[in-house]
Amino acid sequence: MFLLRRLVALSLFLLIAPVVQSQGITADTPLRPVTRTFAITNARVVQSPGRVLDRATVVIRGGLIAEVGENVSPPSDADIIEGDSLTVYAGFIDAFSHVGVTEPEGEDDEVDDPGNPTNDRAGIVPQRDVRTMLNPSDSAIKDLRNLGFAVAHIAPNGAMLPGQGVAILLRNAQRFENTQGIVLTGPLSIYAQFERSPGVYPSTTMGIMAKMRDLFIEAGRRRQAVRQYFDDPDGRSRPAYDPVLEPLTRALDGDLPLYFRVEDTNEAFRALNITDELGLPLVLVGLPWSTPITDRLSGRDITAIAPLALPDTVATDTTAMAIPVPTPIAGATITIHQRRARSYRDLDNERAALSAQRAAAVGRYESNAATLAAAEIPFSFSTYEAKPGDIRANLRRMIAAGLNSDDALAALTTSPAELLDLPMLGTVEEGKMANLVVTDGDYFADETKVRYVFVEGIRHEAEEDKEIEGADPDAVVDATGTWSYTVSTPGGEQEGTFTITGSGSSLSGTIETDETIEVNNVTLEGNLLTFSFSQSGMGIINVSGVIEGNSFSGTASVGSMGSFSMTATRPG
Amino acid sequence: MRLTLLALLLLAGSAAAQTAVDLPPAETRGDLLIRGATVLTVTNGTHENTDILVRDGKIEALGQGLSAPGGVRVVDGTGFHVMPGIIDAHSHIALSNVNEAQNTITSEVQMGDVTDPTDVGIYRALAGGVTTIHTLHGSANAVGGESETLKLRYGTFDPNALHFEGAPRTLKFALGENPTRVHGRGRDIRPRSRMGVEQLYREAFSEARRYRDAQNEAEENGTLAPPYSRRMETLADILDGEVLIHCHSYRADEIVMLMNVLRDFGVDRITFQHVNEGFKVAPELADFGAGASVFSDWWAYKFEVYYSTAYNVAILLRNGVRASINSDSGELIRHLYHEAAKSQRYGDLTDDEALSLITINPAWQLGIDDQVGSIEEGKDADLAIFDGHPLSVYARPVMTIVDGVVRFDEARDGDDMRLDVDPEEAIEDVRLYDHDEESCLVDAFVL
Repeated sequence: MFLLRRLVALSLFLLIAPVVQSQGITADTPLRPVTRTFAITNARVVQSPGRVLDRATVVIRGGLIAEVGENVSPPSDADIIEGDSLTVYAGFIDAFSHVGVTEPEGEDDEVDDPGNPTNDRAGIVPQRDVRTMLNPSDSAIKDLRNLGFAVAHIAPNGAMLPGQGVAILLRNAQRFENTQGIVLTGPLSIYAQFERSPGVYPSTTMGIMAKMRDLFIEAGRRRQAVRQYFDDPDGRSRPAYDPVLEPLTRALDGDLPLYFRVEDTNEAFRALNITDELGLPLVLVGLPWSTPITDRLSGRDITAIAPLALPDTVATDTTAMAIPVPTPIAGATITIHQRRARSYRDLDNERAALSAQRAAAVGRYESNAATLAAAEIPFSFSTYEAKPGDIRANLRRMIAAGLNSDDALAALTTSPAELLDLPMLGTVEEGKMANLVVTDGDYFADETKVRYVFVEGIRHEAEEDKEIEGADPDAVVDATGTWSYTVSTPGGEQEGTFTITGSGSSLSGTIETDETIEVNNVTLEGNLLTFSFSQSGMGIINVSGVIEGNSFSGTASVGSMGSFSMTATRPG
Repeated sequence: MRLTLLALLLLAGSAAAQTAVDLPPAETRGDLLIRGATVLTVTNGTHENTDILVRDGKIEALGQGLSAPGGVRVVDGTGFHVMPGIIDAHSHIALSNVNEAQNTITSEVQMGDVTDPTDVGIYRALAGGVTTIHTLHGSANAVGGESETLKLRYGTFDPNALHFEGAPRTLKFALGENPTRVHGRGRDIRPRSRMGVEQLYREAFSEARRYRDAQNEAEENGTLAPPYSRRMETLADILDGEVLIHCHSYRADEIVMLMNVLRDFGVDRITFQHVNEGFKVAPELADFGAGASVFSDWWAYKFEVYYSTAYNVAILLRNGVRASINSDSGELIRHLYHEAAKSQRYGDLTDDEALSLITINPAWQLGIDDQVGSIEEGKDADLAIFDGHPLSVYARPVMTIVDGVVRFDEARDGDDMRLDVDPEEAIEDVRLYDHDEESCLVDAFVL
C-alpha cells in the first residue's frame, strides 16, 4: 500500500518535473532557431561610439560575430536580413538593475530583541548570490530587450547588503534549459545601499554606516588573522569561518567592487565617505544629479552609474523667477538696509517661482549624464526604477540637455563592458558576442524603431509599444462632465470623481481624491482622453483611457509604482 | 515721505534676493572690515565705534581707525551691534536621522555621518545669528550616538565641509522618561525605570573596560583581540577621556546619579542638557565641574519637566556652573538672543552674562572656546550683526558671518533659499513643517 502510494507520488513527480524545469517559458520564448547563422547585409554599422561603417555586412555564427566589414559576403547557410535601411549597434548593457530577479517573499518576522537581530533579518547577507533568485519569466526582461538591451548586471533585492550581482543575458530561458542558462558570468559585485530592514537594528542611515564600519573593519582584522594562521598555525587558534565576512574580505581585497546605490547627493557623499574610510572599491549607482560631487569624483577610479529614470517634466512660466541679484562689489561700502518686495503678497508669483525652481531641478537631473561626461567621470546607465516605456524618451531629454549621443551610446555599450570587465561585449567587432541592436535609423531619434535585438546570436523581433485598446483617433466623443471612477490597486479599489470642462483643445478639469486637485495637460485625441495631476506623496499620476459612450476605460500610472486599471462612468 | 517710499520701491525692484547656490564655497575664508560698530566681545567688554578687521577667516584686529587693504569688502557698522556668532549646544537641524532607536546603547552611530548640509533650517539659523551648532543624537537611548559640531557654512552640498575643525568628540546620553518610554514601555526591555538606566551605564562602562583590557592584552600577547565593535570603542574612549558626554536630563536625582556613576568610572567631563532641575543641585554640578545647557522658560511638556523655573540658568551661573541656553528646535534656534534676554530679565544677569549663555559658555561646553565664542583677535571671524542691542526685543539680526564670509545678509535675503529642490515635489503642497514637535524623539517610534 505504501509502496503503491510512493509509486504514484513518484510518477506524479516525473510528470510535473519537466513542467517545473521549464518554468519561466512563456509564449514568446523562442524555439531553438533552425540556423544560428545570420547576415545583416549592407547596413549602417556603428561598431562603437564614433566608429561607423556606412555600408557593411555583419555575419553572426554560433553566438559570435563572425565577420564585420564592407566587403563581406554572406555565407550560404545564413539567414539574410536585408540591411539597406537599417543601423546595427552593439547590444546595450544595463549596468545595474533587478531585472529577472525574484521579489523578496512575505513579511519580515517580528523579533524579540530588535536591537540584536540575526544578520539575515537585518538584511546583512553579502554572501547571497543573485543566481539563486533568478526569475527568467520576468516580463521586464522582454521590455528591456525590446529597447535594445542584451545584457544586464543584476543584484538581489534586499536591505543594506543584499548580496552579490552577476551579468545575465536578457533572454528567456529556452525550452529544456535550466533557469541558470541566462547567466553570463559572476559574481561581479557586492551590492550595498542605505536601506533598512523594517523593525530591527540598524534602522537608520547612520546605523547602517556604523554597522558597515563594524563589518568591514572586522572582516579586515579576520583576514589578517586567517593569513597568520595559515602561514604559521603554531600557537594560534583558527578564526572560525564566517559566511558574512568572507565576501566582504573580497571587497577589501579589491576583487569585488561595492556597487553602492544612492538616491541623492547626501547619500552619494555618505557612500564616498564610508568607502574611502574603509578603503573599498566603489561604483556609485543611481546618482540622479552629480554636479555637487564631480570635484570629489574626478580624477579617481570611480565609475558612476547614472539612472535612466528621470523626474517628469514640469510645465512652468519661467519668467516669474527672473529677479536680478546684485553682486557685492569688492571694496565697496554697502549699506545694510536694503529692502525688497515680499513675494508672499503675490501668491501667483510665488507659485510660479516655485514651479520655476522645480523645473530647474528637473533640468539638473536631465543634464546629469552630460555633467559626468564633461567632468570626464566614467559612467554607465542603469535601468533601475526606470519605466521601460520612458527610457528612450529620457535618453532624448538627456541629449537635449547637452549629452553627446556618442557618450550616450558609450554609456550603454563600451563603458559598462569595461566596468563589468566583459571585453566580449560592447562593440560590433569580429569575435565578440553577437549582441546587436538593429534599428531603422538613429537610435536616439524619436521616430526610430528597434527591429531586432540579437542576444548571443539569437534573433528577437522587437515588439512595438502596444496601442491602447479601442483607441480610435478618428472617433468623435465628448469628454466633458463628471465621471465616477474606480482605480484598482493592489491595496484595494480607490474611488472618486473627476470632472472635465471646456471644449476642443482647451480642456481642463479637477479630480477628487482625498482632496480636489486641478488636473493638467488634458487632451482628447479621437476617443483617447489623457490628463495628469500631482498628488502629495505620490508624485505625478498620468491617466489615459478610451471613452465609449458614458464609460471610460484605461489606466492610471503612478510614477515608479506602476500602472493600475481605471474605469469610470458618467450619468447618461 | 513720498520720495522715500518711491526710493524704497525702486530699490525693491533692483536690489533683491540671492539664492543658496550663490553663496560662496564652504572652504572660503573671508576678508572683511566692519567699521564703526558697537562691538560686544562678551569676554572683554563692549567697545563703541570700533572696527573689526577680518583676514582669511580670522579676526585680525580690533580697534579704531583700522583700514582695509584694497579689495576687501567694507561693511558700514555705524549704528549696529556686533556680537560673536551664536552657538547652539543642542540642535537637531541639518540631520537626516536623529534616533537610532532600535537599541538602548548606540555609541557606534555618528551624527556626522548623516549631516544634511541642504537643510534650509541651517539658513534659518544663520538668519538668527547662529554660526555654530552641536547636532546630537535624540534621547530615545540611554547611550545615543556621537554628536557633531558644525559651522553653518550654508551653500555647500558637501557634508564634510561643515565639520568644525578641531572640535573634540562628544556623545549623547539620555536619562529619564524618554529611554524608559521608548525601550521599557515601548518594547518591554530594559530600561523600564530610572534605576534601569543607571544599571545600563554601569554595565556598558564595565563591558567597555573589559573590551579595552582584552584588546591591550591581545596586543601584548600577540593573540586575537575581541571582535571589533565601534560601540565598545567609543565607550572605552569616554573612559579614556577622549569623548565629552552631553546628557539629556531633567530631574535632580538622576543628575546626581549620573555624576556618581561617572565618578566611579573616572570620567570627569560632562555637560547636562535641559537640566530643568539643575537649580536644585547647582552646587553639586559646580563641584563636579559639569556644564549645564538649559532652556530659558520651556517646560511642562511631560511629567518629569513640571518642576522648573525661569531662574534656573541664573541660579546655575551664580553657583559657578558654566551654563548655556540651547534651542533643541528649528524654531527657537532662530532667536536664541531672545532666550538669553529672557534669562537676563528673570535672573537679573549682566549683559555679558546673558550673552555668554549663547556664545562663550556653549563654546566651552563643546571644547571649542579657544576658537569661537567671543570677539578676540586670533579667533574665528564668526560674527552676528544686529540693528540694535541683541538683548533688546526690538533688535533684528541683519548679517551673519562665518569664517569671515557673509552667509546671511538681510538685504539680500532670498525668497527661496533652499539648496536642494525636489524635482517631484508638488507645488501646491508646500508648507512650513512643524518645528515644535519634540525633535529629541524623531524616529524613536518608527518600526
